[in-house]
Amino acid sequence: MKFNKQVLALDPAGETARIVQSLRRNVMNVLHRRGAVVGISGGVDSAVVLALCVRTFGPDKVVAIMMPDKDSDPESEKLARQLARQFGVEPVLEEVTAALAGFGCYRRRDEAIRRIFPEYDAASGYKAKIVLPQNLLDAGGLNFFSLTIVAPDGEARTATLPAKEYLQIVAASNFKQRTRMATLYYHAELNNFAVIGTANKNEHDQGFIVKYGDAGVDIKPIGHLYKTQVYQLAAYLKVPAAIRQRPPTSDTYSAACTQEEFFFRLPFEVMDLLWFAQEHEVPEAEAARVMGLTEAQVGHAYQDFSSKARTTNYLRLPPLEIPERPVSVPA
Amino acid sequence: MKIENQIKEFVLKNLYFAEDNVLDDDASFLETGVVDSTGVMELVAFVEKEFGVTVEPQEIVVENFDSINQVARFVSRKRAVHGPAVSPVMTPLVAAPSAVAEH
Repeated sequence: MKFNKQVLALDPAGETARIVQSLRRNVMNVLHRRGAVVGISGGVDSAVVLALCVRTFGPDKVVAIMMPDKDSDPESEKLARQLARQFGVEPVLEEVTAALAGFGCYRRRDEAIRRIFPEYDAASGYKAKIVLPQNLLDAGGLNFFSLTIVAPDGEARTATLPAKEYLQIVAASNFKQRTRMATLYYHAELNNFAVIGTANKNEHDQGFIVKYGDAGVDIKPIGHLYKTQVYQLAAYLKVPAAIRQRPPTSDTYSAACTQEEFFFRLPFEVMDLLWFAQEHEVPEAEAARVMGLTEAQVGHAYQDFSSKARTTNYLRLPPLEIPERPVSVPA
Repeated sequence: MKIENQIKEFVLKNLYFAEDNVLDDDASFLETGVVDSTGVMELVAFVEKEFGVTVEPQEIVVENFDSINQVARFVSRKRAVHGPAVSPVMTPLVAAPSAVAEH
């Protein structure tokens, strides 16, 4: 197979049938669960997963949960409801702000933000987000975060984020994904259903995922799909256009932040092809020719993919075990 | 102590975890995993504090921070141009006059 821009083209009907068959077999025969619980965020990944689950189990064996918090974009819930309505599922609303406040999610996060910007005050309308440098192809590989705050009057200020504050902001924010995981498992156990993951290959393999948060699921039906392939299935499954056209958002921080800004540093249409090329050992020169980039640009992208995969490997590991001490049985 | 040795000592103590605890002065931090996301920031903070230089965001690039020797050369260049300075670890960037675009 020669590398070209069509390598990620799916047979959407065939792939849908394959995923549906696997979902049915794994949830029912392996996990012995009777249906699916899906967290729907208003984004394209959870939309595709909901559509697949309804095809697999029927709408009465699917529970769709919306889990906004006070930082969520209200548009997300609106789109999630539209999606659920289209697929004949009555969505359940689980507002998680109180749970997150109880964990100290906002307090801990804002404390770290105020060490950088003392004027930051969420209560009076300040918003914040963390982003990576957006010049991956030209400047290459070092991933370091900046913190941006947006004042109520719209003025934005940005500063490089020191390690201590970065860790605290991320650790505090990760309560969101872990709280949602716990909520999904409540509904799964209530119904004897399985929790169906909504992370795609980019999120899972590049590490844009929270251990035992959105990675804490029973099965990952789109975990093997590049983001651009998820969009192909979304079109085939007739996911609402408003969801398919919406830029993927992290929907974690109070200031609007795309996934590209926050983590991936490349548009998905470029990232997915370059990453496929790297995974299939396509030489940089050939990838550059096909993509209309320089070899140096391709090199920067390849380096970033490797670096992120290596750095985030621990997120994908199961609990490590201490080998048992061999026991000798006397004759 | 030579700049390279100070940097190496910091990296081996804080950022590089290998059983042999040996790191070549030209070994790529990216390839050896020294600079994961917090590694870069910790290294920048160390350089600023230890050598009294200010690191601008646009200077946090592979050419300046991907090996012990590269960091040492970067520090030497900064000191030659600016001299060691007393500056805070964090420097807020220029405030944008307009709102961040909504997505």
